Amino acid sequence: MKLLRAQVDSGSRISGHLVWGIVIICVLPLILTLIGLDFGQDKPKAMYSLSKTSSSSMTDVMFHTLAGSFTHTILEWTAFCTAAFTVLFAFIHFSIKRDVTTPIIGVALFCAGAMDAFHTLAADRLIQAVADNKDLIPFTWALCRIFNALIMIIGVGLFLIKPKQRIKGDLRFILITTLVFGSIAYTLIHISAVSSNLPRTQFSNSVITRPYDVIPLILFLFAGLFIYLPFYRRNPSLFSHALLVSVIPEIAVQFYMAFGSSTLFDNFFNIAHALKIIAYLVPFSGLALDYINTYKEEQRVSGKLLGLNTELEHEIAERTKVEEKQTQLVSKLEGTNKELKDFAYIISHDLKAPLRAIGSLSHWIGEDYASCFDEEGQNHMNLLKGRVDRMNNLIEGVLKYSRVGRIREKPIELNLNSLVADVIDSLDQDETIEIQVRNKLPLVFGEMTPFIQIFQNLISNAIKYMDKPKGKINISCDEDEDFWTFAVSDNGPGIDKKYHDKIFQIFQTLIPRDDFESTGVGLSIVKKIIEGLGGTIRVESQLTEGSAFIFTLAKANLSPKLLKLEVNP
Amino acid sequence: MRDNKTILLVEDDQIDIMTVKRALKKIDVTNPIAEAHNGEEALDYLRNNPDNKPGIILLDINMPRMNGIEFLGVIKENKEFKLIPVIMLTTSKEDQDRLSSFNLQVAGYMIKPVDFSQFLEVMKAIDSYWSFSELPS
Repeated sequence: MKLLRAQVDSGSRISGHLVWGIVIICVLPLILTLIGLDFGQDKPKAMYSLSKTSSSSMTDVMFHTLAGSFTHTILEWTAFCTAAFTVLFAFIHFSIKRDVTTPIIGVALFCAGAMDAFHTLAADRLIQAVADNKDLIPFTWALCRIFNALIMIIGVGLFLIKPKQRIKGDLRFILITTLVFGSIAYTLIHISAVSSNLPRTQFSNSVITRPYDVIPLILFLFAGLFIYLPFYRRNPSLFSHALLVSVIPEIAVQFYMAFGSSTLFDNFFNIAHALKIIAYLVPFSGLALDYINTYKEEQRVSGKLLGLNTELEHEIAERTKVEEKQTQLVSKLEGTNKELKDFAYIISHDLKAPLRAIGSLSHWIGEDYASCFDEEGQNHMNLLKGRVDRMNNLIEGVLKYSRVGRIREKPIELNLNSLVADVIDSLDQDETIEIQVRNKLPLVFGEMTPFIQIFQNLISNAIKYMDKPKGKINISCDEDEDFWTFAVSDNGPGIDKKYHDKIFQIFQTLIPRDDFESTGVGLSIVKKIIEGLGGTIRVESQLTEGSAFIFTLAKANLSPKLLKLEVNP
Repeated sequence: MRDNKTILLVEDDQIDIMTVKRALKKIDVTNPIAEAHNGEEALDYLRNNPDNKPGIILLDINMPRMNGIEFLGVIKENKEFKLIPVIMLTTSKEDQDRLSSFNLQVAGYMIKPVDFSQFLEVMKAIDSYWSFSELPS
C-alpha cells in the first residue's frame, strides 16, 4: 500500500519549502545558542536586596524577578490561543466539508492546549495550587506534554480503527468526544493542583535533565510513524500532512527540554516553549491552507461554470433561432401546399370545362356536318379530337404529378408481393408479354398508393414500349443492411445513354406524341415518389436489348417510426 | 326513363347542358327536361311545380350562388323532395365531394367525360338503370 509521493495530489501536501522552513526554525535556536545567544531568564538582570529599595522600585524589582514567569505565561498563552483558533477553524472546516476527522482532531489539539492553559494559570497562581512552583511547573509541563501526545494518538488513531465513513458527521459524536477529552484534561490538572507532593521532574545535573520529557519524545515519534503517517496515507489532505509535519517541532521541543533545559525559564526552556507555539501553528496552517485551496478551487470551478453557462445560453439562443426558422419554414410549406392544392383544383375544374366544351362541340360538328366535310376536313376534325384528348391527358398528368407527396395516406404494412401481383393483374396485358417476379419482395411500412404508382408506371411503360415478339419483364429485389434495391427490367427497345437523365423529366417523351401517344409524366411521377422516400432511381440500358429501371429505398424510411415534423397537406 | 317524368338538370355550363340534351336525344330519352342554372333556381323550380315533381335530378356540383352539395343538403331535409333520386354529374374527382354526396344519399356519382362518346355511355347507363329500377313515387 505504498503511495508514491508523486501520486498524491499537490493539494494534499504542504510544500517542501515550508517543511524545510519549519526544520530550520527548529534547528536555528540551537545554532544561535552555540554562537553565544542566550534566551534564558533564569538569572534576573538586577539583583537588589529588598531592604535597600524604596516602594516604587520594589514593583520594578518584582517585575524583573518575575521576567521569566511573564515570558513563560506569554509563550504558553500564545500556544493555547493558537490551539483555540485551530479548533475554531476545524469546526468551520467541518461545517463546509463535513469531514469528521477535522473537528475531532481539532478538539484533541484544543484539549492539549487547554491543559497548557491550566498549567500556566496554576503556575501564575491564578488557580489555587498547593505545591511549590519549582515542582508544579515542570511536573504539569511534563504531564501536559504526555497528555498532548496521548490525546493526539487517540484522536487520530480513532480514524485508523474506525474509518471516517462509518462515523457520520454527527455532532453528537463530536460532543461526546469533546466531553471525554475535556474531562480527562480537567481531572489531571485538578489532581496536580490539589496535590501537595508532586514528583520531582527537574534534574539539573544529569544528562537527561528532564527524564519525564523523554516519554512524550518517544510518544511523538511513535505517533508520527505509526499513527499520523498511516492516517495521512488513508486521508491525504493538507491538514493530515500538517499533522505529520508538526511532529518535527514537537520532537524538537522534547529534545530541547529533555536534554537542554535544567532550570525554570532558562535558555532551552524558553526555546522549547516558543517552539511549542510552532508545533500548534503547523496544524492550524494546514487547515488555513486547505481553506485557501478550497476557496481557490471554488473560484476556479465557479468561473468555469459561469463560462459554461454563457456558452449554454448562446447555444440555446442559437437553437431557438433555428427552431423559429424551422417553424417558419414549416408554415411556409403548409401554405405552399395549400396553394398547390387549390391550384390543382382550379386546373382540374376551370381548365377542363372549356376543354370539355371544345371536345363536345367538335364532336357534334363532325357528326352533324359530316356530309359537308371532305377527306381533309374529316382529317382535321380527327386531329382536333386527338388534341382535345391529349390536352385532357396532360392536365390529368400534371394533376397526378402534383398530387404525389401532397395527398397523405396512413402508412400501413405492405406486402409488395401481393401489391405487385395486383398491379400486374390490373394492367392491360397482351399474351405475348411474360411478366415475372424473380424473387420474394419485402414487407414494407408505407403509404399504399405511391407504391402502386411506382410499379404501375414502370410495368405499364415496359408493356407499352415492348417491341419484341416475345416480351419479357422481370421484377426483382436485392437487400442489404440498410437498403432495398428493386429492378424492373425488360427486353424492349432500350434507351440511348444520352437520354438516361432526360426521360425522368416531366412531359419528356423520346418519341413525338404524334407517333406514340404518351403524356411523358409517368417516369417523373415515379422519380418524385422515390426521391420523396429518400431513395434514388436510375436506368441501365442497352439499345435494342432492353432496359432496367433500378431504384433503391432506405429501410429506415419504411419502418413504423413516426416522422418528427409532420407537414399538413 | 319511366312514366315520362321530367328530368331536372341542374347545371350552369351552357355547353354541358347542350351535351346532356343531345346525349339524351341520341339515346331516345323523350322525357321533358327542365333546366336550372344553380341550386337556388332549382329550388324555385321544385317549389313552383309541386304537382309535377321531377322523376330524377341530374346535379352538377360547381355552380354559383348555391352549389350542388348545398342544394342536395337542402332538399334532403325537405319531406317533399327528399325521395327524388339525385345523380351527381360533375367533373370533380375530389374525395371530399364524393363523400359529401354519398353522405347526403345520392343515388349515383358520375364524372363527366371529356369525350362525347363516353358521355353517351354514361347517359345510357343512367337511362338503363332508371328504366329498370322503380322510382319512389
